[in-house]
Amino acid sequence: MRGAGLLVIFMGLIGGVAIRLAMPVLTERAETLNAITLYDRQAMVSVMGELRSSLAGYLWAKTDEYTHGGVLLRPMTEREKRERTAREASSADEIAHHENETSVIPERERDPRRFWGEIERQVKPFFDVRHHFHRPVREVLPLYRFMTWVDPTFVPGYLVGAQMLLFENKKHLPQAIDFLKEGARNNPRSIALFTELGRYALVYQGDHAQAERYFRHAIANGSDWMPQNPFERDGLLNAYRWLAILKKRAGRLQEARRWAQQGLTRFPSDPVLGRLGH
Amino acid sequence: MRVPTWQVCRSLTTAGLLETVRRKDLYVVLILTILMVLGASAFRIFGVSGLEIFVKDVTFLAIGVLSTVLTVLIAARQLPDEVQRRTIYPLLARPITRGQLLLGKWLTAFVTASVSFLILAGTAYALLLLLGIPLKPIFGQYLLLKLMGIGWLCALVVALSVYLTPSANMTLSLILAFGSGLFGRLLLMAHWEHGVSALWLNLLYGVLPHYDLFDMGQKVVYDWSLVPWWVLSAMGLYALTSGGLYLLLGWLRFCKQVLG
Repeated sequence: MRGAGLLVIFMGLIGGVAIRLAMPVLTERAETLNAITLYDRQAMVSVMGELRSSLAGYLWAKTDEYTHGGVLLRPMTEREKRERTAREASSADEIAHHENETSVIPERERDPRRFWGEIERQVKPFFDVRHHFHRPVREVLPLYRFMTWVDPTFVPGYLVGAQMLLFENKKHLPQAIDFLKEGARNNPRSIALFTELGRYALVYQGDHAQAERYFRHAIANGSDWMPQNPFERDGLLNAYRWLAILKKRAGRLQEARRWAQQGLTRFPSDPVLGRLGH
Repeated sequence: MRVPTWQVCRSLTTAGLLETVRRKDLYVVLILTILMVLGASAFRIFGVSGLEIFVKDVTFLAIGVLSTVLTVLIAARQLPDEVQRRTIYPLLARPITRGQLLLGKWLTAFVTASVSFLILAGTAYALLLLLGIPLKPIFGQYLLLKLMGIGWLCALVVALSVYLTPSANMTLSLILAFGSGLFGRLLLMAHWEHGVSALWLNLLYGVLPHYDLFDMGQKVVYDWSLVPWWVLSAMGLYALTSGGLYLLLGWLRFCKQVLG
């Protein structure tokens, strides 16, 4: 037991030193997004990098749990979707959108365990997921701050965090934009962050010139690779869509068509680009 | 003349607690608690405010995991240590039965693990208050339910220690304790997706351990209101009957076991 205690202290000290050593290199990782370079340098640093990414991922998963007061949701199985046997979660506010999700703990009518099911519904957080309300956004906002602080390369944290800031209060627009800009500084090769900055400039600030600069930056970032990450992939697709729409609204139809056709070379089956490109 | 059971239990528990202090088991709890305090204080140092739910979540996760591991470690060594150190022979040479010894060992494990848990929970409570994070009255019910769970887990581990080697016992006990929630989920999925009958499901569910139901930590984290008292009574009854059954099974084996 004493040995275990000493081991914990020792591991804590080693962990502290490792975090300190890892800090500057991880900041560089955020700027280059080149994990291979990082792993080639120091094994210890790569381990700490993984730890930070894992913590950010854990916090990301936790945000959903926090907004539901600890009630856990899960995707519905194919059978549940087909037969509509499980209660489908739906939101009574605009904080979160649910599609084909149900609660992990089943409702009384569907629970074959009867007594044990009732006990579980009492000792664990549970509510009827149909038309449910969420906890205030301000309770999860710090998590977005924390997850991007822990891992500055965690792009989804910046994207959704900025949206949540704005959702809590429309007056938070400058903070939301600052948050996105911080993300863009930490991830200069990200596509999604620049597309989102462009969308904010266009939709909330009405600054068409600035929006165009951001969309062009996003497209330039995605010019030589096709992202597999859904956030970045959507970012690239939306950058083409927004640019085409922007030009169309300005009456520059030729340019709108050109951007849409350029987008179609990357996303041939997109119906929006298809309409704008013809 | 046989020694009364309560006297055996009292002596063994006192000796067990002294042994725990001598072995400095509580040091581990204190070290872990200090690490928790330092970890939580880091939020103040780095200026990340508004993370109250996160701090509570991590705190109750730590209490749940640490108290379970400590309980298994404490309970798993009660009987094997006596056999290994050969102190079981002078113990059984006294006018006490093997049943009394087994019960005494369970009580020793229960009291020691409960004290460790209460120290952990008390420190966490004080720490949260210090950070300006109050807890709702459901915390009281959480403590009560968790103590029942510790008693139940001690019975399971002490009984298994008669059947298995210490390392196998610890491994299996930890799997049963941490995996209990998952077993239930898998059974439910088997029922919905593969048509396992409700009767079989309930039979299997009744046999499987339900340590996860003794943990209301998530309800404390999200400030839910008090749970009806019948739920705690039902869980107390479950802990009593199920734990009693485990000890009975352990006793049946222990009585026939050739020691040494």
